[in-house]
Amino acid sequence: MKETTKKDSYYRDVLKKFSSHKLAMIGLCIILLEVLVVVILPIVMQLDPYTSDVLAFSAPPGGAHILGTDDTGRDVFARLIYGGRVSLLVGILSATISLCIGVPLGLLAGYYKGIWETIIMRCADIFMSFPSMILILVLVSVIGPSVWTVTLVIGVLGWTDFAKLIYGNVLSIREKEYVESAKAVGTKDLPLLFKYIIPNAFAPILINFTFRTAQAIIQESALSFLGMGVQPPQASWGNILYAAQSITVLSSRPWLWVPPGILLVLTVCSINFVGDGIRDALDSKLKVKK
Amino acid sequence: MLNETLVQVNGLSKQFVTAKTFTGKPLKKVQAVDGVDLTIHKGETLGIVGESGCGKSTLGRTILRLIEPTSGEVLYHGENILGYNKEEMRNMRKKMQLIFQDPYASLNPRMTVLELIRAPLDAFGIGSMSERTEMVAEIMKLVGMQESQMNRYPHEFSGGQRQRIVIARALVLNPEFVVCDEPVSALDVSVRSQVLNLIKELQAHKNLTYMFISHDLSVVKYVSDRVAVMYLGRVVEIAEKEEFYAHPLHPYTQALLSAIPIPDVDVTTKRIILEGDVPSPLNPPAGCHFHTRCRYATEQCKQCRPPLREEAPGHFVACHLYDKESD
Repeated sequence: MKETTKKDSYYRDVLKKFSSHKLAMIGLCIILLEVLVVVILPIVMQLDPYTSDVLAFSAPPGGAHILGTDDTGRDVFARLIYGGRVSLLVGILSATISLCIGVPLGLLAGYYKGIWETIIMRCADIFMSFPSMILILVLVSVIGPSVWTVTLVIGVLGWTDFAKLIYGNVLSIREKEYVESAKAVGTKDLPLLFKYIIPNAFAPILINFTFRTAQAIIQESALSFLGMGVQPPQASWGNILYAAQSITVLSSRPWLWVPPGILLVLTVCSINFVGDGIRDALDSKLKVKK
Repeated sequence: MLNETLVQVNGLSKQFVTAKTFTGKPLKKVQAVDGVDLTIHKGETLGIVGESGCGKSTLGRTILRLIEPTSGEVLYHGENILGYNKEEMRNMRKKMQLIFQDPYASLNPRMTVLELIRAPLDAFGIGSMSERTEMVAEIMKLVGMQESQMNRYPHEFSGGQRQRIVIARALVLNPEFVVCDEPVSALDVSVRSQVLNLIKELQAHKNLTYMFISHDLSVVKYVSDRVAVMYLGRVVEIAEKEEFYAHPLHPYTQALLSAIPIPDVDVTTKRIILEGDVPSPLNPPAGCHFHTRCRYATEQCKQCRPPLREEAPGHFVACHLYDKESD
């Protein structure tokens, strides 16, 4: 019999279950590796994504440039790393912004209902009835494109996902008998929210967070691809792809678009796998694999 | 039995609005509890029986104000708790508790047994953390669980064990009054008697007053001191247990009791077969709710509601059949 305190044992169980989920662990490793590479390599290798190498325009991989150079002679590898910084930052930060706005609003609407429900959920409907890409394009062009405005706009416009999701969950959970039982033993509103409702509503939110991160990375690349995102010379995976649009590049210089494409797919997949892993780990009905 | 009144329910009603018009006005209403009068004495067990959908559970929950009643009053030690504000009512929960029907749904799956049973202590900030743990250990022993099971999650337990957790949680604050809402109907027959005995033992041990809701007449007979019968939101008969099973007065009660099987092949019972179904509570019949299925129904039954009257000492019945005798 374990003699641990209850808090430890719960999170230990979760951790144990998460670490036994192979795909999630692989995904987590890839993401951590990416983060490390993106943070450390520029410092260690003194990469330079901005200066042109006048001796090598559109040079194929090999030699001084591991992944070749683009049509202005900039090092593709360096741009890829710096682009990764931007893409991951935009993805995680904007998903966090969405979560921070959406979850409290959804909780408020689902738990207290009444006027909160009407105002918040109708607002969400209004937000969702706009084609988000066009709204983002307009906002970005009004505020002026930069990493921060892109992050902020994607983040703020993403709140509806979280709000709708947690609202729906809370609506069903607040009618559960264990919530009634908590009221019957005299539990106050706040502990009720934090100990009964949020833990039971949160698994889908975490999964949605990972999904949203992946989506934001894609949105950022789409924006950059349309020229409204991160502005050159600053690199992001999206605008590296944007620069590789011409048919000659696509057909004869694959080093310009294959690496960012692969990284994008890999990152988005890894993040989604981690989401799956978290979902399984938080489900207390799944047994710990020994 | 002491006759000190603990809970007095006067004209308690609860309507649920099931459909609204576009402007929000109620369109359809279900009268789940319809003017119920009850008295529960200190230390006794009042059994509430009735078919599913007759409002037993709603009655229990409105008495505890887990569902806000539409009208009526609930006097606890002579004080109307329906007038209490949220915080006063929360404090009342130390004294009145509910044992839930379904031990699978009423335990938060994300909490350990310790956290579950400790929740009432946490809510009222009783004692230090280590004292609370001690109290939990003590009550766990009392309901027949081992202290070592404290850090497990509810899904690791069987239905009977879970129901013990539910009971422990309800009793850890040492309440006076406990509503048991069909505490054994979700359990296997094999563990029913264990849990019933536990509930009875705890009553003697902790000096509890029970309102025991069930649809099972034999279970009610086993645990109750007095029995009340509900039909479509109304109480139709209340009596001491022996009197109730020996001399049922209301035609509905008579029909119910005649349906209890007797485990003896030589005994032939005269079953009273009720015609038809229970009318929908959306559209209950006028007058006595039972008149559509009653063998003795008269014109009067179709028009006016019979009041709950004392026919014999302590034996109340709501039926027009007994009108003349009391005149």
